[in-house]
Amino acid sequence: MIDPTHPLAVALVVAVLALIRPASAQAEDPFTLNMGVLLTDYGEYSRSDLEISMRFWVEEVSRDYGVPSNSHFYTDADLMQRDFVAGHVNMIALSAVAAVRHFPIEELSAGITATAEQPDHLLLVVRKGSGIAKLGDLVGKRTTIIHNDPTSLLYLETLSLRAFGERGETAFAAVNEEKRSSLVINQLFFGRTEAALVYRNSLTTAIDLNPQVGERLQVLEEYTLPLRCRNLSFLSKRLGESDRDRIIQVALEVANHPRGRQILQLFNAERVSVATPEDLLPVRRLLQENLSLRTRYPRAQLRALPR
Amino acid sequence: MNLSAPVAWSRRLLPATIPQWLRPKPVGRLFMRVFLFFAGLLMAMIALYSAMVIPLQKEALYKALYSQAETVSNTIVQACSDAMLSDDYGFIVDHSLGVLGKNLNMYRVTFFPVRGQGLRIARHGWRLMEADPAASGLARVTSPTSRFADETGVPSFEYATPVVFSGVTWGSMHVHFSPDEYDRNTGAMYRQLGYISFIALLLTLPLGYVITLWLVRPITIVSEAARQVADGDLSVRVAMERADEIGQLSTSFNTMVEALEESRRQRENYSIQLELEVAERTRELDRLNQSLDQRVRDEIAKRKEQEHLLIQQSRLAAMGEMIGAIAHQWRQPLNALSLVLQNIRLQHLMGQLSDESMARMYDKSTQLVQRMSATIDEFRNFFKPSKQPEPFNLLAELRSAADLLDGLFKNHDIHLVIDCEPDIELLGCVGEFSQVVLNLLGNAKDAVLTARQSHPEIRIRVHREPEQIRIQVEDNGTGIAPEILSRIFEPYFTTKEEGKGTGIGLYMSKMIVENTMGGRMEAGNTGMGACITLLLPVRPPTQAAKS
Repeated sequence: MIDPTHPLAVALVVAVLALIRPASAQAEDPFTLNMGVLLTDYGEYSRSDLEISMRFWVEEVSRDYGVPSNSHFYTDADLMQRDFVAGHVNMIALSAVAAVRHFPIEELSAGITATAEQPDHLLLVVRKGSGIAKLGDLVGKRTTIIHNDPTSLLYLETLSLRAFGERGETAFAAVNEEKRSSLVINQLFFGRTEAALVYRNSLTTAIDLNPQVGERLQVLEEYTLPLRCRNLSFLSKRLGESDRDRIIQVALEVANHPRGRQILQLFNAERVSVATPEDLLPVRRLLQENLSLRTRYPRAQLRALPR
Repeated sequence: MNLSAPVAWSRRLLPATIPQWLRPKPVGRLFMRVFLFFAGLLMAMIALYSAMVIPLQKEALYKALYSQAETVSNTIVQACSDAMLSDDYGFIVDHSLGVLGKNLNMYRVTFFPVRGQGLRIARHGWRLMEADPAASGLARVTSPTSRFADETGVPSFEYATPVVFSGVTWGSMHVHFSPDEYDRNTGAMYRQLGYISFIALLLTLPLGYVITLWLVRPITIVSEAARQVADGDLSVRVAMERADEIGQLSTSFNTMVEALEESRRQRENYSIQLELEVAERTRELDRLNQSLDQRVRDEIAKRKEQEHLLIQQSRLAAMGEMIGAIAHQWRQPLNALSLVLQNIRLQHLMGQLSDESMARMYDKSTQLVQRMSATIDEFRNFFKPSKQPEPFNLLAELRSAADLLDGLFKNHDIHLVIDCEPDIELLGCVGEFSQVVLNLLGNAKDAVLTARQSHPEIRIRVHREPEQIRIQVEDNGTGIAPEILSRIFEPYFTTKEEGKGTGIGLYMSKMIVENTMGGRMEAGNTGMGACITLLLPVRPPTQAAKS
């Protein structure tokens, strides 16, 4: 199941639409769209699927429209950051946590993101009737999060520091990771875990697939991380402003284009909206709280966040 | 003779561009039968082929669907084996959703673990089910089964298999596939068969036409040739250069027709000769006929001349009779006139001839002369020929004839009796009938005189019969000898002495009775003498005769 807010879909749309801009503009101001994708932030997709899709939509379409483009896939955020700063990559697609931790915000310009009807908050979900109403009730309970999702890891770590102090994540009986959000929700639904951190749109999708999920699960609203979207893409400020505006303008109209609708459908996204560096503020505050709590509880047992 | 003329229907229906050799010959029924046989045979083969292929193809398609379902099921079971053993239903659901997303022809998959609730997973949703699979319309299975199902109005192909790990049954799994591809393939198979049938049918038309023509055309040609031969045209020849039976048939046909032509030629020659011979014979017959006609005409003329002569002789005889009768009638007045003349001379010599006496003897002489004159008138009127038939009273005419012979009969003391009713009328020429009566009375007089009867008698009897009048003239003379009875009506046959009879009286009488009066005349004998019988047709009495 592909998340509709997946930045890869946005990146693909942007790449394709950038290539089908008017030929006159290409002739006047040709530029190369070098897109960097941080694969580790897209754990729910296989790398081969991502690469094939990207090359198929971007490079093949760009070849048809005569605009040079390149896709770059990274597993090391620092390496992608160096290429971005060096100008080898002028567009990045990654998670909000990776953007806050590895990229200077002053280098980032507005980009795009594929969003659903509601903001994609990160939720703490438990089963109804389980007696769990607050975080403290999870002591000795199993918790499940999405594998390789830095936002979930950061939020779970922060919550555990906030609630259990030095005990940290050891207060849980176990912290399990599942590759996909649907698996996380299913584990909770079938009682293989007592709590789970999932995104709202993933939960909405799960309920759409099976209304019994909504009947059996409940969200602990107190522990909601407000997010604009799960992953985003930003353009480099090194690009000309007119190029950035043109890319964003075309991306916003992608739903009117047959190929754009096809891409949105492929990634199960509903629409494209503008993403700004300000959308990173909740994650930035969460990271600052995490650092503060770490400083307060230096011996706390925590899971290591991926670099 | 041109045998390539197509039949009328082909001339009307086929374009003129079609060559002559492709046009059917006029044996339409045979052509159509063979053509329909080919078409029917081909369609039957297609039907047989379809009947054989369709079940095999459907079975193959079903097996393919079954194999696909089996593969997908095994894949799911293999991928979810750990999850099943560890009751990780979340993974089962997620994996199944992934499989459903990749297999668009897969409707749903349903799991029924032995323990716990079942899972019904479709592409766009899933849910927990009741533990009892029967409640969902499905059943636990102990071995792989498959069927076409129609649950909730959606047709599907269901493959069900038990899930067993190391001999321990975990539960069962039902996979539902869309039958669309199977239906499409089946439909495509039917369409292909339809196309094949249609193409075969299209091919049958020209191909069957050509093949049928190839088979039937020689027969039609021979048949047409045979028909023309039957119609009398022996100039027909069949030109088919083939080394098979048809070629032999063609050769044999030509040989047969040549033989027939030769036979007909010979027959025609014979016929011509026969006609010439017949013509010659006809000419001879014509000549003979002409000769015969001439001879007949000669004979007729001769006969007419003889008849004329006979008539003349008869008239002369009649005139002789009349003269004799007149002489006989005049004898008495002549004697009386002689006596008057002698008395006149004696009285004159004696001087006693007075005026009164002279006047009285003059008156008497005048009366005698007038009586003689009247006698001549009577005879002349009696013999006046009457050519037109007219009704007459029989008794009156009999008496008139008798009066003519009255003198002769009295002289010979012959007693004549007429026995006839007064109102009998006959139709005929009166003069000719009187001749007959006179002739018969004359013969009877001669017969009684020859017989020297002491009381000679002649009797005329008339009998009225229903259909005819019988007149019998009988005498008591010598009768007619039996040996001459059949000859007495022949002309010139007489038994009288030479100079007294002509032999034509009875002949003429018979001719008059039979030819002009429509009657018959017979001769015979009675116990007293001869009897001549006249049988004349009855004529109803006219009003005048009755009055």
